[in-house]
Amino acid sequence: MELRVSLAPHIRTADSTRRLMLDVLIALIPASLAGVYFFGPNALMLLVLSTASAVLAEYVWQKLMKLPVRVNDLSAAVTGLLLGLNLPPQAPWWIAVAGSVVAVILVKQLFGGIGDNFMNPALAARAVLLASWPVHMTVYTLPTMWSGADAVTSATVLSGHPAGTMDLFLGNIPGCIGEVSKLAILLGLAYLLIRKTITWHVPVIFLGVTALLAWAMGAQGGFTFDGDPLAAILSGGVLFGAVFMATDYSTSPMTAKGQVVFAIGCGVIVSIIRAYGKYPEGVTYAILLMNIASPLIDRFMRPRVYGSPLKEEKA
Amino acid sequence: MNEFNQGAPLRGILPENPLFRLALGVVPTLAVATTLINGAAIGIAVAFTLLCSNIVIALLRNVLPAKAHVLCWLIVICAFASVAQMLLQAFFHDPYQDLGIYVPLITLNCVILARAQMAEEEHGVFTSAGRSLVMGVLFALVAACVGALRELLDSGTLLGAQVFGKGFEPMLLLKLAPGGFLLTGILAGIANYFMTRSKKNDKNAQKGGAA
Amino acid sequence: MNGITSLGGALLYLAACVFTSNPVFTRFLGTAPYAGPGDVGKSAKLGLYVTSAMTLSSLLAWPVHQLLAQLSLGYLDAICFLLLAAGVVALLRLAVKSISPAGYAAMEGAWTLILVDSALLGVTLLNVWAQYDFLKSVLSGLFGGLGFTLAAVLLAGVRERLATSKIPASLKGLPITLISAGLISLAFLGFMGMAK
Repeated sequence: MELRVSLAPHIRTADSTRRLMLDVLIALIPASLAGVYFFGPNALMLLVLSTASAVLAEYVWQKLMKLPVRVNDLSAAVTGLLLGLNLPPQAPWWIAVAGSVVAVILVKQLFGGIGDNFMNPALAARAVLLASWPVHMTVYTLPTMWSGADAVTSATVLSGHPAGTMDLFLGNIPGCIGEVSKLAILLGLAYLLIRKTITWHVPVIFLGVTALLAWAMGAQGGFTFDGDPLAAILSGGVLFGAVFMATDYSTSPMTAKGQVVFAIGCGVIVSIIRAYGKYPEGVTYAILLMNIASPLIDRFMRPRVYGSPLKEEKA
Repeated sequence: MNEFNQGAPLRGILPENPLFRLALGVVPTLAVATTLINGAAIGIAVAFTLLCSNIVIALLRNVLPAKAHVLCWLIVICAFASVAQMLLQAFFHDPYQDLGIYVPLITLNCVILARAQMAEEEHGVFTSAGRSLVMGVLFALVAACVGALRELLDSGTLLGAQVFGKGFEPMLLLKLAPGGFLLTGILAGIANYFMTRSKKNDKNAQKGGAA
Repeated sequence: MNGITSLGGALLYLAACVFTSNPVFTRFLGTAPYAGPGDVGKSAKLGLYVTSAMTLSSLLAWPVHQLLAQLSLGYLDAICFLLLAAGVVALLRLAVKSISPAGYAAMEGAWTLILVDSALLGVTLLNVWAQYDFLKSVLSGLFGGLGFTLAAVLLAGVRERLATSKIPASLKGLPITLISAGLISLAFLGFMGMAK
């Protein structure tokens, strides 16, 4: 009899994964619609292309490697959509395709497929894209409200574009397709919480720590305690990341305590990169770094095996 | 290093490919093979160091007390690596600038190789020289290829000349550290894949022959 | 930029050595993380030894370099540092043996690995080529060692996790380790521009 050793979650039928992924896809609908509304046809094209490429890439890989084809567990579709939502709205089509291929094959399949990857595929792919084609990945535009008008380039909010709180909340700002509309993201969060796909801990702690540090580090990054916590969590990709990326099962710690550490770490690193690093936004790297630390966090937070002695009893 | 069996030199191309299969010279290649020329340069430096130091070590082997062996190897190999560095500085100044501290560091890789070689039975000077030359040349070829690939993809050039047309968007990641790791890892995987396939074919051929 | 002048500067330098210019993930120095044990505990110990070796080496290499430079024998740098490193590693080995025989036995194969690891010689050479003053050289050794330790531990954590993954056969071993290192290196790009 062949025993298979694998990592949690252990009870994972194609069915249960599919249901999970379907819930995530549904939760992503508001953000996708908002992004397409604000940024127009190119955004729609990117989302469709990224999702389709991801599914196709996984299908081709599994066929080539003579593995069971599992694309209808929808995990590739989710990865593809997540990647698409993280792209600047006027990016060329091949960026979406390249990103999806990198995400599904390099970061996920090469490591063994679903559950075995140690890094969030969509985020890792985004980091690859950012480093490989920085110009295409950092050109942001003002929202056009599907008016067909030509897109006007602009800096993002974190790079200085002025925006009132209502704009930040609704999404009438330059940014990546999925990250601009906080309202849409929150709708998705509510759905995921109701469906019990995720728990509130990671998103809330991640955002809380980010807000706290933003306030403490102040406007000039010198611990002047006069920063704007609300603006911090409504700007950039931190809300999207906290809800959809930091909550990925296979790339975050397994225990609740571990997840708390994970979320705090994310918040801390985001704040440091935003304040001191050369990039205006640090969410991608923060989550990736905590992904890397997750196996270590798990190692230190191993629940005590029933029956083994406590330290004090060993004497 | 158990699989380090120097049979016919041809085995060095795939089954005992120095870089991908034996994990030798990982550091220099990752760091330095950013263009065809740089890859070739470090490869030639390695070949030179290997060849010269192996000759000297083989000559000295019977003269030195056993305990001093490793220390002597270190000195000899390092000496030749330093010579290689100076030769590069004198005659190939551009690559020399790019290679930087990684030239002295090839000493360490050569030490690993020397140890493995010495672990086997005695060889004459010519055999040792021959083997190290083959190893070195193979490494140089591999390093040059990795360099060429990187250069093609991250700048669209080869030997400094534009290869692709205007529509090509170079993948700048390959200019940075992660790109080096990822490319080398993927190439190593590909090398492994062909290795397993050829092993399978060998096995099938043997079975067919024995039947 | 050849010296450290303040505590703040030192802290910044620590961040630079450990994160922005991590010897393993940014400068490719270090073979032990890939070739060595993929075990977190062992990697941590390995890192500890490497850090000690690096600090001592850097400390001793500086006066040696000054002497060689005085005598116009600069090209003997590499050889001398190598001998120095060998001596330091031998010394450490003796020290660990006498302090903790059990610990020594557990790390048997590690010593050669440390000596041959390009991080040790690499950092020592870098200090000299960049013409750091004495304090910065020593700190560079110490902090570089810490960066190395972080890298080794992170990579070991990932490798431990990968032990139960269904990695394709061609990729097992060196290839997937290199790819993992590449992905970690990718994440470390986020630290760029911090040590101003």
